[in-house]
Amino acid sequence: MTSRPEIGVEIAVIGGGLVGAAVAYGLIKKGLSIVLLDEGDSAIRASRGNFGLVCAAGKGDKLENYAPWALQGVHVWAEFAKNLIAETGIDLELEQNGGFVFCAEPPALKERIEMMERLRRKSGLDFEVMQPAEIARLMPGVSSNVAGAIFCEIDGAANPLKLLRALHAAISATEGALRRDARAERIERTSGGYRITTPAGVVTSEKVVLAAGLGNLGLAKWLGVRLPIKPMRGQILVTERYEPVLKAPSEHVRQTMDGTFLLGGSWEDVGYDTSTTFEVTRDIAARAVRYFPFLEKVRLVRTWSALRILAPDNAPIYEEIAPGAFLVTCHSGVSLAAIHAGKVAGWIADGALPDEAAPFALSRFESSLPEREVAYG
Amino acid sequence: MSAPDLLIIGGGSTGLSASIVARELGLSVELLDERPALGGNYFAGAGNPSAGKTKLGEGYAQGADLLRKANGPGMRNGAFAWQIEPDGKTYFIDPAGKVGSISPRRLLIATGAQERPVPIAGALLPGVMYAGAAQLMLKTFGSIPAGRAVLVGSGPLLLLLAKQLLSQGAAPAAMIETTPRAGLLMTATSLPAALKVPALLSEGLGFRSALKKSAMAWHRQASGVFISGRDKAQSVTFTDRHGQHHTIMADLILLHDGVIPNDHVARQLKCKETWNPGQHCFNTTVDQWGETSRKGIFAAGDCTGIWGVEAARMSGEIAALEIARQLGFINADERDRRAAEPLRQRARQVAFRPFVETHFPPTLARAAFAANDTVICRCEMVTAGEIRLAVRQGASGPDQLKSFTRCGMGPCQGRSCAMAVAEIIASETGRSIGEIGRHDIRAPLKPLPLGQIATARDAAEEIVA
Repeated sequence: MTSRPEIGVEIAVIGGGLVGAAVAYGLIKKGLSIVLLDEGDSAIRASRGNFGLVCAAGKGDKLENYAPWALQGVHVWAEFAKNLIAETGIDLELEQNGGFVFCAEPPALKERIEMMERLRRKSGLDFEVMQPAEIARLMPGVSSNVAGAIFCEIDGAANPLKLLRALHAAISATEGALRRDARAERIERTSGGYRITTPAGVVTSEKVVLAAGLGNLGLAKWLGVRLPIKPMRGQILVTERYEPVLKAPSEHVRQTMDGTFLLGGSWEDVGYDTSTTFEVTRDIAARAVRYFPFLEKVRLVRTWSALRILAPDNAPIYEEIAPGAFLVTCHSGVSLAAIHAGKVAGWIADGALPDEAAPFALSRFESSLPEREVAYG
Repeated sequence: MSAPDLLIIGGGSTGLSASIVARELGLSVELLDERPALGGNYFAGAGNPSAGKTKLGEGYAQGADLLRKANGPGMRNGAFAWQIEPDGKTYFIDPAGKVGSISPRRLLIATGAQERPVPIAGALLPGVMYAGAAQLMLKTFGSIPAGRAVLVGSGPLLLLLAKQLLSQGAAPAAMIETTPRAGLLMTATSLPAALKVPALLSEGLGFRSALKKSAMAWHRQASGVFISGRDKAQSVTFTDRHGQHHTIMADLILLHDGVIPNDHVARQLKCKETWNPGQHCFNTTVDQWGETSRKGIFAAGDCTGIWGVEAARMSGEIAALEIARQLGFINADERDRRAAEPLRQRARQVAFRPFVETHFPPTLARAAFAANDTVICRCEMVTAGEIRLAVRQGASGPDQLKSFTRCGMGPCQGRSCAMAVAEIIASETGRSIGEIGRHDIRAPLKPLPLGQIATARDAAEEIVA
C-alpha cells in the first residue's frame, strides 16, 4: 500500500451511513472542516436496507423523552429536505400525508391505542383511531378484515436511498470531505485530539464523531467504552411497480413514488446474519395480502434484510464518551436525519452536549451494562 | 421417506449428464428446470420429434439420446427454483403455481450460460433480440420472426446461427461481424492447444466457408455499431475497416457478443468467484470435482465459466461421481477410475478455449466506452451517464451504486447490467473489474406473485425421495 500524507481536520466523522452523513452535512453547514470516513461497499450499512418511514408514532414507548424528540425530528424534516434538494437536485421523495399502524386483531389495537395515549400525554403527538371504512378513503383496497388502525397526520416517508445519495453528494461538493473505502481501523488519542487509521490514509482531528452503526461497538472499545447496542434483523420485500393507490405509509406496507410496494416489519434477534428466509418472506407477504387483498396478484421482485442498531430501549444514544469524542447512534436514521443535521451537529460543533441531550446519555443503561466484556459484537 | 441425495438445478447438458451418472450409481435425484422442456440452451427442443432437427447439426442430434437416458422420476420441467438457502434447501414454484421445497443432501447448480449483454444505442428497440434467443426459437419452433434479418456482433454462436438459418432456407440478409482481425501473437500462443481438438477447429472453419458461398452480405471487422428506429428497429449503422460508414435496413436485428455464465444461483449463495480476464467474465470458484466454496454445494458446466457443451457434459459426470463418493455410494478408487476419461476429455476441451477467447473478445459489450445516454440497466432505465455521476458522488462499489441509482434493482436482478456496471466503475475509479465485483443477488431469483408465497403455509410441501 502506498503511504498517503496525513490529513488534519477539525472533526472526523466515522460512518458514511445516514447518521454519520447527516451529522457531517450539518457540520459542513456550520462551517467546520470535516472529513467523513465511509467504509464503502462492504459496510453492513443499515441505511441501505431502510424502510424509509419519517415517523414519530410509537417512538418513546420505552423511553418517554424520546417521544418529544422524535416529534421534533419529524417537524424539522420538510425544511431540511427543501434545502438538501435545492443543493443537490436529488428529490428525496418526502411525503408527509400521514402514516398508519394497522392492527389485525382488536386486542392489538386496544394495546396500541393505550400506548399512543401515553405518548400523547408526554409529547402532544396527535393521532386518530380509524375503522376499516375510514381507512379505505385514504387506502382503497384495504381489507375489512383488520381491526383498525392508528393514523398520525404528521407522519410520512422519504426515499432513504436518495436521502443517503443526496447527503453524500452534498458532502462531496466540499473537496476532500468524503473519504471512500476508509474503514476506521484504529482510533488513538493524541495531545491535540484524535488520530484515526484507515486503509485510505491517516486522519488527525480535534474531535471525532462515532456514527458507524454497529461498527461503533468496536470503535468505542478504542476509547475504553462498552456499548449496549445490538443488531436486530428486519427483512423487507419489494414488489414490481403498480398504479399509485396507497396515499400513506404504514410500518408493514408502503407504496413508494416509483409505484413499488415495500413490505416489512419483521424483528429477529439473529446476530449479524443478513440472509433472508423463506418463512419470514412468507409471513410478511401473508400479512400484506391480509391487509390489502389486491396485493395477491402483485409480483415480488426482491427481498433483503438489514440490521437495526438497537439500544435496550430502542432510543438513540448521544454521549461524549471521551473529551471531544461524540457517540451518535440510533435505529431511526431516516426519521432523525433532519435533527441530526441540525441540533445534534450544532451540539458537536459547540463541543458540549446540552441538557436536552441528557435523557439520551449512556448512563441510563448503567444497571443493564454487561459486567466485563462487550455483550454484542 | 428421506431427503433426496441430489438436487440438480438446470436440465441442460450438464444437469442431464449428472443425473444419468448419479442414478446409475443408485442416488435419488431431483432436477428442476424452469423451461417447459428439458435440454437447456444447446439441446432445446431436442426431445421434440418434429422435422428439421438434423439440419441443426450432428452434435445437436445427440441431445435426443441424452434426454431419453435422463428421463425418469424427479425430473421437473417448468419448475423454477427461486430461493436457495445456504444449506441447499431450495424453494421452487411448479407449473401450477404451487410452492414446494427440497432439502437435498447435495446440490448441483447447472444453470448454463446466458448472452453477454450488449449495451449499445438502440438495443432496446422492438425488433432487436439476442442471437441466442433466436436460436432457441429455431430449435423449439423451427423458425424465427419473419422479415429482413441482420446478424450483428461476434462469436461462434453468431456464425453457427447464420449457418443454421441458411440450412433452414431462411438466409439472413446480412451479417455485420465485429470480430477484430486476430493478432498473430495471440494465435501463436493459443493455436497449439486448439490443434489438439481438430473437430472443433474444422467445424469453425467449415462455417466460414459455407457462409462465404451464400448470398448473405458479410461485413467484417465492423465497429461503431448502433441501431436506429422510431417505434421499432429499422437500421443498423456501422463503420467498416476502412473507416467508411454504412447503414443497413433491417426488420429483425440479432445481436451477439459471446456468452457469460448464468450464475445467479451461486451468487445468491455467495459462493466465491474469480475474475477470468480471458473469458472477460466472473467464474464461480470450484475444485476439479465442481464443489464450490460452500461445502456440499456443487456447480458445473457453463454456469461456472464458459468451457463449451462437451466440457459441460463431462463436468456434470465428474460432479456426480464425487457426490456419489461423498455420500458413500462409491469409494475414492471407483470415483477416480470412472472419472479418468471424462477428466481427460474435459482437459482437452478446456485447452481449446483460449483460442476461442482470443479470437472473439467482447466487442459490442464495452460499457466503459458507452456513450452517456446509453441505457445500461434495462429494468430501471439507468444510463451510463447516471452511473458515472453516481460513482463521482461516492458510490465506489456495485451495491452502493445500486442503492444510489436503482441500477440492478429490477426484475432481471442485474442479469443485463451487472457486468457493464463493474466495467464502468472500474474505468471511473481505475480499479480492476475483479476487485469491484457485482452487486448481491437476492431471492426471488425471478419475480413471483405475493399470493403464491403468502398461501405457501400449507403448500410448501417437502419433496422426499
